[in-house]
Amino acid sequence: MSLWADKYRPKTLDDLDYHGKISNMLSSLALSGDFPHLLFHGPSGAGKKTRILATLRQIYGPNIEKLKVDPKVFVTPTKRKLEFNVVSSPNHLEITPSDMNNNDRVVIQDLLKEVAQTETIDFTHVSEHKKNRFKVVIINEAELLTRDAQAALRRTMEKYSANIRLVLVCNSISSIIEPIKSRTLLIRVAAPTDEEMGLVFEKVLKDQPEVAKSFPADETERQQIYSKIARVTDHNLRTGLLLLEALYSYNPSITIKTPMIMPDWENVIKKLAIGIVSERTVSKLQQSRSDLYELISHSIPAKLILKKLTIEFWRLVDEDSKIKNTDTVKMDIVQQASIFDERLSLGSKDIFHLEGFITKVMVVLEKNVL
Amino acid sequence: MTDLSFDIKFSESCLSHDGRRSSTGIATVDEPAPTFELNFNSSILTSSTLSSVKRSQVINQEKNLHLQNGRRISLKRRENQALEIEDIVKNKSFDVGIKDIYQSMELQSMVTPTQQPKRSKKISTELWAEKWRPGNFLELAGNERTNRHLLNWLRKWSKAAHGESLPSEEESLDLLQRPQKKILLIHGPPGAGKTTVAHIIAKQLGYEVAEINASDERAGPEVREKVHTVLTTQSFSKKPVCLIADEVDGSSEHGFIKVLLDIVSNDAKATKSLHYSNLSKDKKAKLRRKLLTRPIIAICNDVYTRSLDRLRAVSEIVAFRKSSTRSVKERLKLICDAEKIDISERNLNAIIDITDCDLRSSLNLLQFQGEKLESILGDSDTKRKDSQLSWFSIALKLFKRNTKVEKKVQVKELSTLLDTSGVYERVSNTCFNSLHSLTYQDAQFGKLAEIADWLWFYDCISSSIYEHQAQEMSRYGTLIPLKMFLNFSDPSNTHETVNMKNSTNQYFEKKKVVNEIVKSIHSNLEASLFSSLRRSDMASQTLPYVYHIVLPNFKNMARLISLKPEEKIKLTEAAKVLKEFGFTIEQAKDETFTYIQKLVPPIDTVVNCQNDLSHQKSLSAHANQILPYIEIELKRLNITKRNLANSEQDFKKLQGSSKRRNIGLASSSNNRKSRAASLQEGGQTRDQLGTSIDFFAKSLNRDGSSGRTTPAPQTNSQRGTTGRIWVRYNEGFSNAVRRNITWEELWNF
Repeated sequence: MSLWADKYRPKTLDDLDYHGKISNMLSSLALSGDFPHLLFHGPSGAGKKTRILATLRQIYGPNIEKLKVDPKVFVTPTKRKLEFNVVSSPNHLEITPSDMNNNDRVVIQDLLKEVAQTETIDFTHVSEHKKNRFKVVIINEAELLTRDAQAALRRTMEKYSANIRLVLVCNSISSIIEPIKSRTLLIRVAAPTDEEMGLVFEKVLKDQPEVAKSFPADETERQQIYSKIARVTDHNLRTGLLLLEALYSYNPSITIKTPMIMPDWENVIKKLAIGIVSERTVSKLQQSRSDLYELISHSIPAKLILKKLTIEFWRLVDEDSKIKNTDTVKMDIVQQASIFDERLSLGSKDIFHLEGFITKVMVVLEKNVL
Repeated sequence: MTDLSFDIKFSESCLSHDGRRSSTGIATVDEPAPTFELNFNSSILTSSTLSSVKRSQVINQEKNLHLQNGRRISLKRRENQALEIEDIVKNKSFDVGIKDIYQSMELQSMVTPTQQPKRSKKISTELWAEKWRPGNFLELAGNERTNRHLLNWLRKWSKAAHGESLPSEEESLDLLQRPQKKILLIHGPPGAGKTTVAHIIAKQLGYEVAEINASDERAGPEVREKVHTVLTTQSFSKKPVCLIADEVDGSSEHGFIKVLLDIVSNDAKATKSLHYSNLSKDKKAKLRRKLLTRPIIAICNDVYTRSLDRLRAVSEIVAFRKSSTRSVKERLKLICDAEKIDISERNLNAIIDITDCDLRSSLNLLQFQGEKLESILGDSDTKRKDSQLSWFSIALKLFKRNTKVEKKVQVKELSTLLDTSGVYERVSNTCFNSLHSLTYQDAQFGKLAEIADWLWFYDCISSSIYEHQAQEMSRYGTLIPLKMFLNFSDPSNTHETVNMKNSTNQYFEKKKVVNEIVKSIHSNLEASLFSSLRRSDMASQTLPYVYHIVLPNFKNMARLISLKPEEKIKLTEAAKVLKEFGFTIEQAKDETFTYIQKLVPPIDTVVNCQNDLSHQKSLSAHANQILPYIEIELKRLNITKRNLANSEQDFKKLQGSSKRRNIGLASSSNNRKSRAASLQEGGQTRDQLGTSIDFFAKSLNRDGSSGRTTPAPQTNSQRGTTGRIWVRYNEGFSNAVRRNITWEELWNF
């Protein structure tokens, strides 16, 4: 636990810094000792997982932190062996469907049934914790569950509800099927605001006086840095904390003027966008293709590339004085982005669509340049 | 007559409506004629009814009848040609010779089978391709020289197989008067006559042919047994056997080829030892059994498939080319004459053109399309064999606009080419790869933008093929290359502008490497981190920042020895993070063979996206500078967390082995930089006792994760009393010193 993001991760519901309402609700849930199936959704780095673990801790006590990673082996119907890791504590376990590719249905069926059919008998706490004899299964990245797996899930949720509670975690509920939504209590954890992130950062620095020395003493200046970090990281608290730590580690001292540390890939995208807006030629396209390849090969998700590119285009169009009808241009770009976003989700050849998007943006720009 | 018309009527009504059947019964009812016409001329039903009525009356008599709709048809009585025993018995009511009956029965049995296929005009049960397969050497069409070559090769086996001596001494024979290469490998396009030639030559030279072809099981021990039996046993005809292995270029032929190779290599060994060494009779006999005394001929289409790599080396390779048009034509003419087919010169040429000099398929065409040849030759596209044009020549054709031909014509030609070749995927990918290097006219990216949509279509098709096995979608795949042709073809495009290299592969490989690194980092994380970090986010969200955290930057990078306390915290933090993520620091050589410090797993390959070399260099230089200090920090972390008892034990052991280690240390001091100090600490050799423990020159077998178990922490003051600390200064140099230092010195250097 040496990264700040982990070190200062709240352990209990009382420690949570923002979203007081949700915390209250969760603690009352925990107090009752029982809870329905839950579906946490919200952008990444908003604190979904933190809240879940804090709730579980409230219910089961510190036992929940005794985590271990077990490799599990499943045999698919096609007799292929499938190995993936399950994180578990005595009272809960976590699975990530993206580990198992298209076989998640089998895993969901087998694993959950196995868990659900073995009743946990806890002799030490029979009297006081009679209610929570269920085990909790956290499913990370639930939006990546295939439809089959989700369908397999829905009956299990009802049938074994006496022994098992599911907590689904996802960024967006758009790909969660309706029956599952109706069987779960939806909890949205929104991204923290600038102030809320600042609050957390301030707390972190306060805890480490030597570290705080590298930051400006003036509070408003610090706040400015905080909001800058928040903006750069898309209000992702986790990356925000990482960035704060990286800034501290990488710079002798930090002022407002200290440049933010951007991941390399974001710099590449930025450069790419600038190049495209300023020069619309086929050779530029060719160059951008190799950039795109480079990004994809560094395992940057294509959708993320598209998103960042769109944001950059949006910004550049505003700044560029040569472009007329900025509003329609921006609209067109966003429209193209949404079209290609769909193609990226449905198709499988990312490079085609990313380049297609750039081409279409060039077309849009070409029509509107003075 | 009447019963016939009734019959038709009846069946019509019966067919049209079920319910009417009972009401109409036998009577003819005047009804409007049904909409469909039935011709009962050839119906089995009618003819059987007819014959059952009165056969004697109808014989040789034509029947004219009116149908309901006013048409007139005439029915002919089918002639009964079969010789019937009944008739014989009837005619000669008394003295029936048993011989006669037998004779007629025999006759009948001979006649009846030929009566069955009476529907077609010509009666033949044999495929012409088989019927006219050349029977002797002289009948072979084309490839005369190769044929002779084959004959020659096989002739060389005469000594070994037949025991007869060759007329002239040839130099290309081996020790036992066999050809140097024991296997003959014939390759060439289908229909060139490879199999035929092999069979004919073998027959001609008095061999019994044993064929093993793709229809036989050719894997595992069965085939080995079979081949051995064939090669070692005598046939009934007392003729030696020639093994012909047909169609050996399948992908599943490794087993079979292994058998062939084993035979050859065994033979080579046996030959050598037989000839050069004096062995006992017993042994000689044993060896002789391993000798190959029968020729082996292998036949394939493509000699350059991977499975044949090793066979190629040990065999005599003979290439069969397509037979020449002239010789094919001669042969076809001969056959046409014999089969009494009247065919014009022009049509013959067209057939040869269509089948691409494939004699077998020409014959098939002639036999089964004989009468309708004209119509086929009209639309020659339909009967054309799948052409073997490679994908890159198709791609080249796509982009090179032929100005002499109308665009429409060229599109049609390309479409057939793509349809028949079935390589649209390769072609489409190539199109995409070379999109930007082409020359073409485009206003405001209109064409490129259009292609973007078409590529989406392509993606849809291919993903539906792979995901849902919707093979029928592939027929639309050819549209994409055609669209490319329409948009981008230009006369000035050459093979230089068309980019055949598949750049995707390169990036795909890179992606695999990066994913592998991320995966290894992620799976090494301890449970709490493992669950809180998403693997999919690692490369984009976490690792770039972690990279900067573990490689802190200081104001004065040159004087890292004298860091301020608050800066030292950074180092400690970095080491902690490093440890938590399971990174280790290892020494490696860079391109210029200087030693550099590297993080393992190589996180920098994940983090650095820019192709900019100078950027990468500055990063790695920075890493190289800072990493040694972090490593010290890392060591210290491990030390402080170790428990006391353990370290004391180790220390005793260490003293015992210190002499040995000193030698090791001297040799490992090849560091590039003259280090300010290098430090040895007794406690940390728990895992690697007896090996070199210089901090900077890495010990080779150090286990990076050794520090991950965390026993009870221990204070510095305690340690200070337990052991002495040695510091080596300028180790390896002539002015090296060895002296005692205190803990204070060590921690604050």
